[in-house]
Amino acid sequence: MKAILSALAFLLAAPLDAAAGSFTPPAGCTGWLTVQARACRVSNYYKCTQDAPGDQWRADFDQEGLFFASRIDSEAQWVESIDMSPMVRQTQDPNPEDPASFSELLTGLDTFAFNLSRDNGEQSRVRGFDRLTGRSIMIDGVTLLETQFEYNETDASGTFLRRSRGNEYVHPDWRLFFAGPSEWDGGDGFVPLDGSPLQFIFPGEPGFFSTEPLYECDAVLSNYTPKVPYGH
Amino acid sequence: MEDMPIEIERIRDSEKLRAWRHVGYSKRLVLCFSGLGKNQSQPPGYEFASIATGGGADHVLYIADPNRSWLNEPGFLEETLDLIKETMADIGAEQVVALGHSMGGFSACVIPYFIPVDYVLALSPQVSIHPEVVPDDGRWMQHRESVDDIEIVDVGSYLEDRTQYVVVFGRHGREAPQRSRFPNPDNLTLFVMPQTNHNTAARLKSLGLLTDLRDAVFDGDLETAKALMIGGARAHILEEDSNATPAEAPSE
Repeated sequence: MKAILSALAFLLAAPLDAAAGSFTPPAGCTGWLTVQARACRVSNYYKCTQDAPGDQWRADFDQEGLFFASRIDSEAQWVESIDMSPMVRQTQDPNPEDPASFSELLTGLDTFAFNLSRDNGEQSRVRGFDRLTGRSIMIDGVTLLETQFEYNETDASGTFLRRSRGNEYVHPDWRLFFAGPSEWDGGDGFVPLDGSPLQFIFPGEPGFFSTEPLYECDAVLSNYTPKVPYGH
Repeated sequence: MEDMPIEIERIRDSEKLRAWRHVGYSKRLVLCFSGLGKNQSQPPGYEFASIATGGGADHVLYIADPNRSWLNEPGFLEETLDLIKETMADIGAEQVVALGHSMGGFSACVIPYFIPVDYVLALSPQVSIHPEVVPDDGRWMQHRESVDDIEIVDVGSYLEDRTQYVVVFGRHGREAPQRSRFPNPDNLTLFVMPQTNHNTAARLKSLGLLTDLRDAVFDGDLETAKALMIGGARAHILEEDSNATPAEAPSE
């Protein structure tokens, strides 16, 4: 609990302006991976000595700064997450019906069913599966296993809230999921999403723990033929 | 169409105003306002390069504010209006439309107050940068705080009855301070896109909707614009006086 509170306090104090440039993890925590992804997102991963062994934090930044943070355990179970706008903390309820299991996924298929509680009083139930497709993909020199997933989320009374399906990627040793091409439905039909990783950056490399997303940001600069040699 | 090569010529690069021009063959002039730009150490460049031209057909003035002042830098607006009027006269413009994202969307919404504009497509515009209007929005502060005198306080004071506005916001809670305060009169259609933050332009492009939406809005075809946004982007329309939408947590 101490770690959770300290992490939350840290995130509350974190700069919301991406121009700050670099992310510093809380005391007792060590950053180990930065992922620049599609859809204008950069994620910084860190581990904290105060947490249970295997727990990992991820802090997501868009062009306007930190907007989401989450902690998973060694089985990639959703332990808690914090959405910054508005500030809502979400935790997984104890004793899940069918806990998510990264170990089980690595054997081929993992189903899950668990409940989430938010500190604004909302509760929901999540059910779904992750399955290895048998395909692998190399992104920026890192080999990832492709998964297929599907989940439904309902409120406590069973009313539909949202669902999603598509593909993700996992790294067996890092025990992490990364977004892939997928679809999301909030009740009006599926809309495509793709937050696939494009660049993996490690300690000591340029861009490590940057807060500035690099890809698919801003308005669109289409192809053009400049008339002046120096362009724009 | 989005990948069609086009020619863009730099026509102004002063401390107050940066501008580029694409020469088309229609009688429509597109005013394409830039946002803050991704590289904060460089002055903003032009945006929507090819899309703004409608496949090369329309004349475009690409307008960027090197001071990132949301039209407040002394002299910027005056110089911009002079340039627009010169270009309108030069091409015999029969229609003027405006386009922009973020600060560019704000500018696109305000410019019809100063010069007749038929249609506006504004993506994730600010309703205001004034701290008293949006005290709960802490974004872009390094630029907002450098504006000495905010004369153009809020978009609502500058909307024109003769102009049709289409405004697109992301549904993420981060956008709520601007989205929830945006004016919503009869001649303004406000769409809210799910699973979208401030990056409406990039999301619309990735969904393959941006070019068609631009064409529909500038042709005055609001029904097609609605079909694209609702059917393709699963967006909602915020009705007048109902400018409130629940915040949305990001997906994993």
